[in-house]
Parts: sequence; C-alpha cells; structure tokens
Amino acid sequence: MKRLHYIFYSLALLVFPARADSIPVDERDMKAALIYNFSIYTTWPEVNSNSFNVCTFEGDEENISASLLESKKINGKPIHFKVIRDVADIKACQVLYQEETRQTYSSKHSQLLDKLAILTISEGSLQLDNTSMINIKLENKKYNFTINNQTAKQQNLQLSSKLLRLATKVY
Amino acid sequence: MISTLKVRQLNMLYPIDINRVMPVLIFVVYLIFVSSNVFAESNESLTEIDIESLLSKEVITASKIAQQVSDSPSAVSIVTAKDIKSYGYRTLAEIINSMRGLNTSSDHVYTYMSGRGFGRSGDYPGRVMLLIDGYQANDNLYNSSYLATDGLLDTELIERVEYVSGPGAVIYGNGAFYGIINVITKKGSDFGGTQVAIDAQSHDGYKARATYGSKLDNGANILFSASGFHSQGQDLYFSAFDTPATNFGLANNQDKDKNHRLFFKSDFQNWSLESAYVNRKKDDPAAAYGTEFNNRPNYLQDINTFINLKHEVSLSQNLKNSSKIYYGQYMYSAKNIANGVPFAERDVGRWWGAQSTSAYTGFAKQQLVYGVEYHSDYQQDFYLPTSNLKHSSYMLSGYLQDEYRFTTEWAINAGVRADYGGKNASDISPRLAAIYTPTADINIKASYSTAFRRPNPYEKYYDDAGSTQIANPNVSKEQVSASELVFEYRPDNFSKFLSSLFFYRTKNLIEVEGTPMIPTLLQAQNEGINKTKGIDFEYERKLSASSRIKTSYAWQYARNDRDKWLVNSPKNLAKLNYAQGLFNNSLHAGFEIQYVGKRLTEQQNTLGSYAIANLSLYDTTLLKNTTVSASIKNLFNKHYSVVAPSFYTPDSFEQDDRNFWLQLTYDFK
Repeated sequence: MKRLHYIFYSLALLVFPARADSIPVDERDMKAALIYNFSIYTTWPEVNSNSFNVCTFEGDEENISASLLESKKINGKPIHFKVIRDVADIKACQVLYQEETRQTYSSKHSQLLDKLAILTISEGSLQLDNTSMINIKLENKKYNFTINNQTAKQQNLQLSSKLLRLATKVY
Repeated sequence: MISTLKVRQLNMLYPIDINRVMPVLIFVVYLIFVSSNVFAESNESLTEIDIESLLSKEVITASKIAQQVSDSPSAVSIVTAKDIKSYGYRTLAEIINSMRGLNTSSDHVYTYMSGRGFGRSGDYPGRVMLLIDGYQANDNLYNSSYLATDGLLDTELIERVEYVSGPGAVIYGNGAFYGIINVITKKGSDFGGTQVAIDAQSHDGYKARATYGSKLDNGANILFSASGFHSQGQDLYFSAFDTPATNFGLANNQDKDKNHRLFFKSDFQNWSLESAYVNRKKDDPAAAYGTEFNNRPNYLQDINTFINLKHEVSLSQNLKNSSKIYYGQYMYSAKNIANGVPFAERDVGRWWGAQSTSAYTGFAKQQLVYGVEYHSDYQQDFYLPTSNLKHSSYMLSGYLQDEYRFTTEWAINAGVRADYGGKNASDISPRLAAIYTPTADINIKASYSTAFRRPNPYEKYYDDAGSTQIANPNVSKEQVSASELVFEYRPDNFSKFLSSLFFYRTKNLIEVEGTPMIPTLLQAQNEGINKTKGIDFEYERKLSASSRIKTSYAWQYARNDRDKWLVNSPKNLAKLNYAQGLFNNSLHAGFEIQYVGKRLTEQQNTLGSYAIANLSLYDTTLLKNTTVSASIKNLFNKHYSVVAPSFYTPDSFEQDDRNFWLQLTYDFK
C-alpha cells in the first residue's frame, strides 16, 4: 500500500510538467528575441566589422532589451547594440530597428538605406511598403510579422525559407 | 531523515501517519518548486527556443516611461540619462532639484538637500542616504552626500537616479532616514568606445572629460572615465560684511572651484568591481565659522574615494545571493585665517565593510530577502590645531524582509532590521506595508516604518577647545517613524500618476546649534519631537517618441516640539519638465520650471518664494559624431536667495543669476 502511494505521486510528478509557455513575456525581451531570430535566418553579403551591430534611433532604444541581445552572437560575432544619433552612422549597422511612432526619416535616410545591406525591422503597420523588410505587429497579445522580400533582395539580403514560411504575408 | 523516535513523538502529538503524509509533502514542495521555477524563467531562455515557440508566447506590453528598479513599497521618482541630457544636468543637485518634493540650497561651498519638510541648511548629514550602485557613499565623519562639484560622479556616467522617499532602514540601516537617493551608473557598453567632452560655462568655468567604455569579446564590460573642472567663480557681494574693514562686503577672487574625478567600473561574469575618486577644492567666499572675510588662504578640500567588489550568484533556481566587500575613504582639509591667526584642519575617515544578501523565491507567492552586514569605521579622526581627536566605531546588522502576495489584489511587505554598534548606535527598525492592487493599473500602498541615525563623529566629538564648537559625547541617536499612503495609477503605457500622503515623527533630532550660555559656540544637541505632514503629486506622460512631460507638486508642513515652523522648510514646491524633439529630432529642447515657496531663515526671517526656469538644447547632427549641448540656467534672471547655515554671518545667500553652459561631446568611431 505504501509503495502504491509512492508510485502514484511519482507518476503525478511526471505528468505535471512546468508549462512555461503560459507565462507572458515582457515586450522588450520579446522584441530582442525576435530581432535575434530574424538575424539568425538572414544571410548578409559580407560583414566586415568585428561585431554584429543592431541599431536603433535615439528614443527607440528603450523599447528593446539590449542586455538580452548583447548576450548573444551572430555568425560568431558578438552582438553590439548601438543607438544611432547621426543618420550617416547607420552604415555600420547590420540590423536597424525602428518603432512606428517615429515619424520619418528624411530622403537622406532612405537613400542611404537603399545602398546598404541592412536588415530593417519595424513595429507597426504603416512602414511596411516603404523601407522595412520585416514588420512585426502585436495582435491578440501575440506577435506576428510580414516580410517585404523584394526590398530584402534588392539589398542583397537573403531571408531563409523558414522566415518566409512563418510570415503572415510576403510581399 | 526523520528518525523512528521522532516519528513516534510526532505520531503522539498528531494522530496521522507521517509516512503517508511525507509523499504529499514532497509533492507540495515540488509544486511550489515548479511554480516558482516557471515564474523565475529568465529572459535569456527566449533566445534559446525556436522562432515558432517564440511567436506562440503571449506578450505583456511594456511601459514607455521609466519604471522603478528599487524594490520598495514607497513612492519612487526617477530621472533617467535621457532627462540628464535633455535638461543639461551637470550635478546631482540639479537632478535632485527636478524631483518631486525635493530642493537644494548652496552656501557657495556645499550643497544641502531638503526633502519631506526637513532640510536645515548647513546640516551636513542631510538625512538622505546616497547609494551609488548599491554602495553607500556618505562619508563617515559628517555623513554628507556631496551633491555638487564635490560629488563622486560626472552626470554623463549616470544611467538613472531614483529617489525613494521615506525611511529605508530595513535594507540600508543607519542613516537611511528620510529617504534614499539611488544612483545607477552606466555600463561600458553604453559608450561603446571612447568619448571626450569639453565644457565651458559662466564665471570662467571649464571642464574636460575622457571616457572609454566597451564590452570586450570575453564578455567583460569595462568603463574608465577621468575629468577635470576649474571655475574662477565670481566676486560675490555680501551685505552683512559691508564695512570698510571687510572690503565693503566684496569677496574678491574668493569663489574658485576645481575638481578632478576618476571612475572605473567592470563587470565580468558574476563579478563587478567599481571605484570612484573625487578631489575638490573650493574657496569659501562667505567666511564660515567667523573666519576672516576676503582674506587668504581660505579654502576647503574634500577628497572622497571608494572601491566596491560585488559577486552575484544563483545558488539554486530559487535562491540568489549578492555579496560585496568595500573600502571607502574621506579626507578633508581646510586653511583660513581666524582672529588674525592661520587655522588649519585635516580630517581623515576610513571604513570598510562586507555584506551578504540573499533573495529566496522558493515559497509560493513570497519573496524573501535576508542578509547580514558588518561595517567598520576604523578611522574617524580630526586633526585640529588644539588637539588630535581619534575615534572608531563599527556596526553589525541583520535583516529580513518578506513580501507575501496572498491574493492577486493584496500583498503584505514586512521587514525588520537589527543594528548593533554599541551605545547610542543600536536599534531595531521594522517596516510593515500593505499593497492593494484592485486593477492592473492601480496600486495603493500603506506603510509604517522606522529608521535611526547614530550621531556621527563630528556631532559627538568635534571640539576645537571652544573656538567654534565643543563636543557632546552624550548626544543620542535620532529616530523617525513614518506613515505613508501611496497611490499609483498607470492608465496606459505612456503615463503615470503618483501621489503620497505622509506623516513623519522625528524624535531626538540631532542639531548642531549655539549653546544656551554662548549662542556663538556650537554643540550637537538632541531636539524634542518634530512632526511633518504633507501630500505630493506627480504626473508623467510620454507624448510622442521625442516629447515628454513631467510635473509635480508637494505641500508639506514641518514643525518642532514648540509647534514652530522649521527653518528652511518650504511648504510648497512645484516642478514642471517638458522635453521636445525639434526639426525632425535633430534638435532636442528641454525646458523646466522650479518653484520653491517661502522659508524661514536661522534668524527667523522669511525668505520670499521664487520660481526659476532653465532651458537646454542639444543637437547630434550639426557636427559629425558630436553632440552639442547648451543650457541657460535661470533663464529669466530671477534674483533669489536661499537660507544660510547658522555658522555663517549672513542670514541668506543670493544664488546665481542667469548663467550659461556649453558642452561638446565627441564619440570616436
């Protein structure tokens, strides 16, 4: 009888796993993890710098968990999180993240982006057709994303088939 | 293992089968472990899972305005690095002046802080503890915080400053009296290379700074910084000295201020090492303690330094430990002429300490924090012309705090600390807080807490044979008990409303003041009971990616046991801060207004209220890799005065008229 008790409780332990999925994730951590994943599934023509630079414009940096990103490496290069103050500095970036709340960027900004192999990621719905290659969107408390593969191809960036498959829409 | 004998004894007490209950207990412990394990899931695991699982996770949207990092059931005001840049804050005092219910005043040498209705000018301890990355930075002779050019940090190195109002004795002990200023510094990776800056400001002031910060390939995050500042100052006029014998009140070339600072910080794996040094020399234009006016030498020098080694480790899923060992040193020297004779003083304070704090989350719905600390003030010396006064002291402390969230709406935060440091330095400090969260965006906290501060060596032993001050070895510790009701409302991710209603009762407040027999001879005395009541409000809103507004108002009334209004205790304080990006965010403007109500001086005169406005601008696009910052402080050139300490001849001091500041910061890339 005593042994039966132990067997019952041991089985109970096995069938009661921790369900981490149900725990909501902080928005800043989620965005950092998504940027990291998008970077894994993207191929750049070549990266000359010693670090892999993820950039944001001033004001957007607080929307991403920088420490989470900086604990990781992409293609063996440590991720460096940079806040861009001068538009010309985006030359050093491999990824550029911006929020939709940010209105704009001058023609100088778009011209620069047109020439550079920078994976552009935005949150929101408006910027997709303009410059961003990946657009993330929060719907029903979960993130989904769309891809503008045309722009990515023009900049010689190759997004993996896995990303294209998971995207809710590919332009 | 429970022995057979013990099982029998237990069976006699409780008529149940222990062997049957034991697996149930194990199961319950497992459930607690699982639940706490799940909640403790680190954010790092998010980058370990595949993207499909990541997209399936629910997200909590984050607040777009700064959140407190201090674990405190009281009201917290925050100034971030972004605010420091937007509003051109050059000293900790300027940061503090922008905060709810706080105010500072300068006697042209030191800057004193007032908060919660208490802030006697010239009162060195100030009763607010200054923490730099968790290290208590007040010195061990005067317990001063050093808020201006005498402070340990360049503001460019500060990531954020939090002001936690109310006693913080449970975790921080002796001296966490009316509140805590918690400064968190930047990391090396925040600079990502070398940065140099040069400043120019009114009154022939210049500063240069060089900072290198980087995260190395091995994961170490390092930061070095060095700076030097020099200001010629002003030829200040004091009507109290307006006689032919004292140059008609004009202090010629008596306001020089210079400092140099060093800072080092490194994080590697579980270890962090931090050290800061400041050496500040300042002329005293107003001639404190009856020294000769407009004569030389006439300076005070403060040298502060510390080194703090910290180790943080997760001992298990539910148990985290943080330990630190630190060393600090303060050296003061002064030279002046008193009664026609040169006077020189040198003070030396040295201390070290070790602390271990653990946080345990293994009990469901509970967060337990406990720890021990040993602090040795092994040198507390005053070298005076008349005698050398040498003392030392120590403090041994233990503390325990538990936050128990027994329903989703209700939580209780209870804590107690025991400090033992010999006579007049031992105390038990409890705190009890109830936290009610009726909806996700409302927090109501009611708390009762106490704190103490033991008399410092200056108050207890300073004695220059009756020239200015005599010792009082019998002065007792002072104690405060505080009741506070805090209301927080976050209607959305972009705004926050905060209000607190408070009542403080301070017993045996230590004040250095004139003795009854000879009013000009100072001695530390315990006052009776002081009472403060007040209410304050703060509202903050992020209007867009580049604009934000913050405003606060505080009303407070502090009186002594004779029911008289306290010296330098404004009843009304109001602040407004507004930052806006202009021209496509290439130019950032920061505008602030600070209002301070009427105050009483030491001689019971009333100083009028004042409001000053400051305007700051910075631009990052004008020059390559360069940030150009400029400020006009006291924009409308308001003439205003602050209360002078009792050891000065003047009763009040006029503060700076309109003044300018320009800074160029260059990042090597």
